[in-house]
Amino acid sequence: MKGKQSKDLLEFDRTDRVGLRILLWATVGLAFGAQVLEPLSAWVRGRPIEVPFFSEVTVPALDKVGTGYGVADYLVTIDQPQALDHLLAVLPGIFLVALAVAGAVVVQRVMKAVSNGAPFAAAQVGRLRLLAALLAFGSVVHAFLALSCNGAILGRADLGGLSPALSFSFPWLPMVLGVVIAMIAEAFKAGARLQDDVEGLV
Amino acid sequence: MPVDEPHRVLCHLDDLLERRGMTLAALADAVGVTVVNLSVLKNNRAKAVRFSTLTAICEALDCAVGELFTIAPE
Repeated sequence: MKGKQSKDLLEFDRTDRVGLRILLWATVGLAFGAQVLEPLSAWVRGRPIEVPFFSEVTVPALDKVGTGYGVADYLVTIDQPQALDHLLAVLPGIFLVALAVAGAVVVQRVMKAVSNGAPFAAAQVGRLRLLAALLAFGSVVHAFLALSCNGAILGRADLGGLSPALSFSFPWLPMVLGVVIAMIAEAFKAGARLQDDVEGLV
Repeated sequence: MPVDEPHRVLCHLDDLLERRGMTLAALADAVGVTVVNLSVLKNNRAKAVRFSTLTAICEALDCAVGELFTIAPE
């Protein structure tokens, strides 16, 4: 007697694809709101902007009681930012949103090819490599861009004699993810070749 | 010759069918392979042939593998 076939719970069906699409574009929308709309709104309303600042500052109250402290990240509030400051503040966000849009479009195309029954189409390798590059290199470029823009804003600001310094941390997680996706792209390349062979098998 | 280069295997299924007075559809029936797949083989568009398919074709046409395929000179 044949048993009833159980449904594969991990199977990526239409509902999952729709859910992922919604999640992707919701993430892009949130990134756009937080990284672009918010700084632009601050610009329009003339609100101050905050810039991370890595420095050793003096805290008289702590000095007085003999408590030690060292360098740390602070938020410098630029009370009366100029148009250039606002532009520099929004620039990394625009780049990040552009990366997110490109990533979402690529993921959607990969997903569409899988749902169309052509997971190993030749174009899939290129798409996965593009996604890997967006994650691995795009995240580093974004980090450098944010660092440069913050440095430029701080360079124009009066820091009361403190020399502007910035701390840079490599975005390891997206970089590692990018390398993993590049590796998966290699597997897809082998898959594309196998599919090509199977199509010509008699 | 590196394996990535296009092959030079020629299939003589057309000649063999003509000599045996057999149609492609009849061969497909006898062998249990679709006409489309046999057509791919006949027109030299196949990249690989299963040993089982080859055995069945040679049995149906009463021929040797060497009669079915040759390698074109460079």
